[in-house]
Amino acid sequence: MPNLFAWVVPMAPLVGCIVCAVLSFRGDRKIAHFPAILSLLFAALSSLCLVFFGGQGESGTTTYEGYRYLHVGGLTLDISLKIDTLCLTLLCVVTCISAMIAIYSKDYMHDDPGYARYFSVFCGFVFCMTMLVLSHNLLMMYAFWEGVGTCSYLLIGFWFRKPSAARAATKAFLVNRIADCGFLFGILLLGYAMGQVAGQASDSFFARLNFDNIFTSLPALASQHPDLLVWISLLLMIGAIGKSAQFPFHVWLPDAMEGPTPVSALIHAATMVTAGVYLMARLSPLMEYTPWVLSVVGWLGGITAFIAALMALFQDDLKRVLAYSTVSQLGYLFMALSAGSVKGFMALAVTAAMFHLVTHAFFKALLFLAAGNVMHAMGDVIDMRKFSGLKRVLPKTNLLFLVGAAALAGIPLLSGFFSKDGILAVLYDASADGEYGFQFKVLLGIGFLTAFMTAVYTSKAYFRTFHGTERIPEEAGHHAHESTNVMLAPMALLAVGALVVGGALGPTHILADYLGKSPTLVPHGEHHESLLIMIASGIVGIAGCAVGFMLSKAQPSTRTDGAMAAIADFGKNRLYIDWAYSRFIVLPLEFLAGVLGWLDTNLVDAFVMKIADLPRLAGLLGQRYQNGRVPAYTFVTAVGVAAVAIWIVSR
Amino acid sequence: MDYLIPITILLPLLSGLAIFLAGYQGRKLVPFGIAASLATLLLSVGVVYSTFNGAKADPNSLATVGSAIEFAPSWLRIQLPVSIANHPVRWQLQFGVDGIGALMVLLTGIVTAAVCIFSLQQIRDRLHQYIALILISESMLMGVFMSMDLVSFYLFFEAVLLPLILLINGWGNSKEALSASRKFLLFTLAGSVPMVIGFIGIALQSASITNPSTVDLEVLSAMANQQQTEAVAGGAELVSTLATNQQWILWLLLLGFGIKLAVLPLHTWLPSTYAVANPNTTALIASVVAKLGVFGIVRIVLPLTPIGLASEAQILFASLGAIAIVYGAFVALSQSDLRKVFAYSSISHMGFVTVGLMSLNTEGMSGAAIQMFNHGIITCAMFLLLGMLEQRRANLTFTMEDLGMAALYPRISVLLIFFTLAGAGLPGLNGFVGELLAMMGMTRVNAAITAIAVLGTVLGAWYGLRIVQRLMFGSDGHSKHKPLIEGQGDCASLELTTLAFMAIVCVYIGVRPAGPMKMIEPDIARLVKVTEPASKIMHPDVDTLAQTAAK
Repeated sequence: MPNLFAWVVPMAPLVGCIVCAVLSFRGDRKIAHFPAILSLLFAALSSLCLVFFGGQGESGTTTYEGYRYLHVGGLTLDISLKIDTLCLTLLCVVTCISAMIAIYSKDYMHDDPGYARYFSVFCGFVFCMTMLVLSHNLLMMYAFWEGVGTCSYLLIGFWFRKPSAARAATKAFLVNRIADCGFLFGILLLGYAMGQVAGQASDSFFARLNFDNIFTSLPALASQHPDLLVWISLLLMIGAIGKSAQFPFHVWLPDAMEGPTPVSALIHAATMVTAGVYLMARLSPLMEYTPWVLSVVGWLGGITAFIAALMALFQDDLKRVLAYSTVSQLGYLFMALSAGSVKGFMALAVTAAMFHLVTHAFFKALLFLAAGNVMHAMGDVIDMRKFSGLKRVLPKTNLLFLVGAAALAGIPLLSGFFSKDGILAVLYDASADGEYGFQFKVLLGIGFLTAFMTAVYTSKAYFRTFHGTERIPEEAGHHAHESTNVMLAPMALLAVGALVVGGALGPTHILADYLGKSPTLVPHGEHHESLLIMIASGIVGIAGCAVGFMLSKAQPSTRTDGAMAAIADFGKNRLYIDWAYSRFIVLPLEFLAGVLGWLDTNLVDAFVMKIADLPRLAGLLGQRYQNGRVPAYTFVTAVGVAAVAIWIVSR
Repeated sequence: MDYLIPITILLPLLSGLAIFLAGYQGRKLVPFGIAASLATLLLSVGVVYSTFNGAKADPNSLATVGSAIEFAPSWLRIQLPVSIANHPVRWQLQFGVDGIGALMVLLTGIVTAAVCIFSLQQIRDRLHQYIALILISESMLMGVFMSMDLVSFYLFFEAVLLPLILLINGWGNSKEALSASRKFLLFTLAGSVPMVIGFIGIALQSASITNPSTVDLEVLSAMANQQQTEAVAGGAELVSTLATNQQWILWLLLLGFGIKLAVLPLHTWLPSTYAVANPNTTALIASVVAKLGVFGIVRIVLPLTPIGLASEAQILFASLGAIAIVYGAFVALSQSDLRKVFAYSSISHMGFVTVGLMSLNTEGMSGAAIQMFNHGIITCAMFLLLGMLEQRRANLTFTMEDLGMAALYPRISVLLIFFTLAGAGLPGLNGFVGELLAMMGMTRVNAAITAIAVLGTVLGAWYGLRIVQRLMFGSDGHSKHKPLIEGQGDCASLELTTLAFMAIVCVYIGVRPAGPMKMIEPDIARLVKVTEPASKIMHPDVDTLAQTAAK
């Protein structure tokens, strides 16, 4: 039975994808939501069934056989599904939230000409994402890793007539590809190194990239090639931070907001961007052997969390505030993961990260959908300078956004509060460590600072949008109205999640115990709930909200005092990171391309063609003797005859 | 004796000649030409089928080349009026198909049929002659892929050029066609002269060891295998003597095949040819003719001169391949002529094939073999699409911004995005399988070369997606669109069917590569018997990790 459920989870969206693709070619557009929503509900139900029936099996992890993809030489690659509690946690989040968002999309996208195309790619994304989560093999994971990237590309560029959307799509794909290139190389090296571990037959080099095999051969690998292992996990980590939009790869995510808002909610907030965290959690046994890499992850996560929050403070575009907030929260997750570099903390770190991942998926999806409602009502205007005081026009959206924002800001007893507190507590515990203690003290500081800034920008965005004098932009026309119930119902469910999931899963240890069933995540030590941290983070959250409220009252454009203005300028321009990339990376590369192109015609080709001229030069030498004058020919003939005669005579 | 082989070679040849001989009446024979190309496609499917069910390789055989089905009638025999080592020269010519050959035969069948169908829309004048020439080239290509001896291989290898020159000249960009086709001819001839000297060298060397001289690849490969085994058993000195013996032949052969393969820096004939030929013709050249070099290496260099190859050329060519991946991609980015962008992207992608081939192990060579087929399908589709786009928009270049053609031609744009992603190595489509295997193979030999090759996956996506972004996206199409011919719509259903069929092939190989892999598995397994030991003996530092682990 679990076998069937396990395969229904990815296959139902695949069927939905194909049906919708056919519909989009046939032009029968307006019924495309039906197969999509149905298939996603099937997937969600099956994944819940897997949880209830214990799809992970007795030993904590079960592999459901599929088919043999490839068998060449030392490589054996099967398409099979591996299920344990870690993957089930993410699987439920992915399928449930995608089903909600698909329902929401039915009305949100209702008059779009690409209706069926939208649902087709949407289902395709869910298929790839579930397969990614269920992968039993690192290469299979890479394959679907690229698959979600492609669906993300197609959805960011969904409104391809907009130049900005087309550029954002290309940028997202390429930035991801750069990171994936490291990921792929890491996989190749890992497969190669595993083939060399003593005691393994040397003719099956890449056969054992299954996660179970990786974990069993790790001790041998770590003792024989410790340096190589660091390289491998560093390369794999690059893949993870690329997909999860961490510094220095964070630039693609804010631009990805060019896509339809439900897509931003699903892919670029709740699910796909967490794939990097999932990869790190999945490979946590490997990462345990390379604490140095985890410490790098922590620093990158800390930097990202801080700079993204800083950028979010100064954005005027509501969706971009949320986008930077997503980047910042993902940085939080990576900070939590890095606590695994302390001995025996890995399970705690992963649990804390997964917990925040789950709650974040709920409230961030909710916030994005609420922003989508605002956009829908305002005639696709999302600039907060153009509207304010929408609480009368959009009363229900106001309430829903408030729930999401409060959860994000970490107001006590909401989901975000518990999960954020969990991360801070893990960081606090880790800071007692001798070797990496200093790092976690700094990260804890960044964590609190970021929590404060998060509360500030969240409440600022909320108050600017929904409170104050009522202003509605011209684009909205006369039909600025609340969204339909089809859109509000899934949001209400998400809001319930944002309210209670944290309290239900966190303090009760349900999630921690559930994840602990996975053989790679058996907790080593008892985690202490630090009341101090909890109180501090609650105070930080409330104080941040108060500051945000005050900031929303102030006219942002009138303040021009020195240092503040400089920081605001920096924040508005995304700390000039995008600018620096295009200036110092893209431009030189394009210049290099130009130089190589020039050299190819003017050096390589010219040189090779010169060789082709050699016969002609040889011809030129003889040319002057072919002058057509009879006396000269006669003379040469005479000399020739004489020479032959002399040769015959003298022989 | 399998008569499928001569029929597959002769059917397109005879139908092509028939259209020519019909003269002015040939105009009416265009449907006949299309039918002949489709019939050849069916025949090539038949070849694949019978290869799959054909003779299984004998595991004890020394030969590293062998055919599953063969055609070697006794009357196909050359008697030369000379004698080598006091034996009269009697060369038995023969044809045969193994898995790799069958894959290439299928590719030729698919590509030719597609090119013939597209020429209905693309070629405005002398259509019947165009189709006739395409059919004749197809026949010659089939001949190359099914030859099992040096003489017929060489004859077909060279004969391909004749119809191609006519195709490039007759239907190309008339201003530059002459110089470009001359360049093409000179380059390929410059390659084939050393190649034929190499062939003669092989025939002579074979005569000095076992009498009489032979051109049969199966016998020759068995001989090379035996020599190598003896040398390896005899110690380092014998190995180095054998390597020296093989090396001069090897370099001559590699020069010939390398030019066809467009290996750096001998690649410059390729962009100039692709830029002037009609994209329809280029589809054939880029997808099949450009594979002749790789095929020659697989068929002749690897089995006959493995030690010579492994001693120096292996790492050199692998590095050149990896550099070609990056170099080709960068140069592609800098071009303004779209045909040249595609041409350099072809160079870049062929780098993966070279890298895989030069790993000399099972993974890499399987990857190279399957990638030959994959790249053929993808690049053919890309050039056909380019032809359609050029037909719909005057003066199309890579530097145009936000053309928004997706709004006008949704079918073409979906296909273009599909094949771009397939070319960029998206998992689940065919390009991924070959690239992955090629890089895996190279990781085992030299991880540094893999590290360069991996960059190709980013760069390939860079120019590919840029094409899509600039030409397809960015506006509603009408504002920036200057149509060449008013009222030309999206691609016709015949063309759509053709490309959709090719897309299905891409998806099939991407989702279930085990099928085609099974076909080439015995061939690769045979080849590896000589190549991998050669690589190991010449590069004892290969698999460094294994050695440190052993210590």
